[in-house]
Amino acid sequence: MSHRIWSATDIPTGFAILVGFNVAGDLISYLSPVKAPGAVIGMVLLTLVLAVRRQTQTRFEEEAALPSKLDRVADAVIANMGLMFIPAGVGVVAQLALVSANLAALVVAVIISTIAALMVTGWVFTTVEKGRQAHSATEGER
Amino acid sequence: MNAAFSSAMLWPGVTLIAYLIGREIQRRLRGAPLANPVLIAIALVAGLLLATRTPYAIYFAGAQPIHLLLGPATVALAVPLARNLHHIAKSFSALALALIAGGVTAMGSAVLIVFAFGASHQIGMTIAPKSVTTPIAMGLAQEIGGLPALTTVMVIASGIVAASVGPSLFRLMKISDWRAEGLAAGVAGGGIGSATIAVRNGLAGAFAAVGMGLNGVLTTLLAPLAPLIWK
Repeated sequence: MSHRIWSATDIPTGFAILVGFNVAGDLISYLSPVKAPGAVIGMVLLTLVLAVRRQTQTRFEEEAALPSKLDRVADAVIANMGLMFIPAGVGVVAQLALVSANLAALVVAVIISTIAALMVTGWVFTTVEKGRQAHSATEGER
Repeated sequence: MNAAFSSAMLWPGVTLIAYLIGREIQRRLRGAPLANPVLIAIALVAGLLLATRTPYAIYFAGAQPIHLLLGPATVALAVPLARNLHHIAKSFSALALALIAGGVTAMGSAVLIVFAFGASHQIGMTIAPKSVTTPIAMGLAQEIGGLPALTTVMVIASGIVAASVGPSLFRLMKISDWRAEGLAAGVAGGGIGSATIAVRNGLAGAFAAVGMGLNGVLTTLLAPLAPLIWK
């Protein structure tokens, strides 16, 4: 648990980190042949930085630092992310003819491929995990 | 009318109110996944634009302050991903193989199905990133020549399908492992799939966060291959 009191003045700090990584990602996307949105590159970079920091932190530091300014701002932004999809999403009004012309294909593709992805992911995970556990169990008997 | 009324906050305001109405409707329907607040808000704003004969370009320019937050919000996904990354170490091979198999299935099957229906290259690129979380999917659709607006709707629809059929599907497959179910929800159902399962079980929510984040990266790497089917 945090001993710090969460303050609204933490928002600029957390937001600056998010914006900074976004701009860094945009820059890398621009300079490199990697065909990826800058925000995704920024997300990967921030994940790596946070993962390395977590590894190098001692337990005491971890307790003192959590939840950080970044954590609070990120959680708040993610909780309200739906709002940010609306302006672009409304763009479907300009594409209604295209949607109705491809309605069957879109509906079938969304339903079938989502169910297929759920089944494949779940099946592969449990099958590999069972194999690994059976393996380590026989290792343990020796 | 002589001087036309204008306010920089008109369209951001309309967007906010539509979102609040969408959330209230979902709350009253006890969180039914089908009553998605974003879909409701999109329909409300779209209806208003059609009724007032406002071109979409005018609305989109006005709503930029909200739209521009998507970039930092995408970066913010790093926080739950990093927070749950330690789960990977314990079951690394299972997670990596399931993620790759599931991510390839999600994108590959969607693209092949619309191709089989004879849809255009543009429709294929619109649906290719449909299982990724919305902000990443929109960026990818833009990048590979799809229509980001339609991609948004496809992502939300996939999330709704994953959240609705997921529990009965896993019961049918006789899989009772929260890690597998969480990972699958994140890989196949993006943000909606993850949020729905996180409420049911904490460990499943952690695996969903990892699945959603890493599938975003995987699909970003694979998406440039999707156009090859049309060649």
